[in-house]
Amino acid sequence: MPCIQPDGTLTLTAMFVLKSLGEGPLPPEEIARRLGEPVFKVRGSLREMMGAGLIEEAEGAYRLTELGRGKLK
Amino acid sequence: MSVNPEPSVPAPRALPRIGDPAPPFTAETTFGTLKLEDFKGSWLVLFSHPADFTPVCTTEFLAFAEIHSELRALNCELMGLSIDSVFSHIAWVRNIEEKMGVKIDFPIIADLNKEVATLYGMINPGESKTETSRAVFVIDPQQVVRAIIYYPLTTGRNMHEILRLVKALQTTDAHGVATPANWQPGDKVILPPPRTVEAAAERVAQEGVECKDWYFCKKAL
Repeated sequence: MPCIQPDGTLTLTAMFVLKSLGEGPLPPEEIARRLGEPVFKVRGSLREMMGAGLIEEAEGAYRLTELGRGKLK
Repeated sequence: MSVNPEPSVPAPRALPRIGDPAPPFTAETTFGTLKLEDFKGSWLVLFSHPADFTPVCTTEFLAFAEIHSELRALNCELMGLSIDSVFSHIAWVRNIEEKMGVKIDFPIIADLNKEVATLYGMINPGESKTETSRAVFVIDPQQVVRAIIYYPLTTGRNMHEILRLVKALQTTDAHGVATPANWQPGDKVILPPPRTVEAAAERVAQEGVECKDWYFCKKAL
């Protein structure tokens, strides 16, 4: 599920993920539950967002980076 | 006496077989870049079709879309593949939705470089060197290949059989049983044949089991 548009803007899904992670670290399964999307889609999105430096992973849960937190402002 | 080493010849690529780990891949899809490992924890029906904008494939996509929600309820995802670009896939699924009113809500791999198709042996050069056959790989949550089906270009697949196959595999895993010909959920299942004389004697005396003979026993689940 692409999260970052070719022009660098974030999709609604990406913004939803960032907002969810703004409340604290979450595993992909919980993000998928909140989004109402299958886990495989969320894993793809998280990988893309991690590649863009918006989030980071630790022990199976994802959390915002400073860059990701900045996108929420 | 000197021994000349054999000239180095690349070993032929082994195709996945039932019971093998599903070959990992990273692919561009209509849902963005996906890896096989993204599907860990759920069943996956990975299928190939010959080409976008072709009539038999369109009937198959309509039929796959029809069983999609039932597969989802079985914790089973669906992913298509053909040797077409992602733009062609997008145009085709939009066309299907516009002309036939059916939304294709599963990813399709754009395998232009034939990487995944080659990895999974989806191209049968005797039939076509440029199109994938109608292959189906059922992959379990541990990413092991559990079933493989091949259909030729001319013959659309039976979605009820694919659904039945997934249900049968899940029943086998859940209960340690096999399923007879034409089995449908709710039908009796087959107990694995005993492997010792003692177990054979016990089997025929077992309550709740219907035996034609010691090796051929069924029970209701």
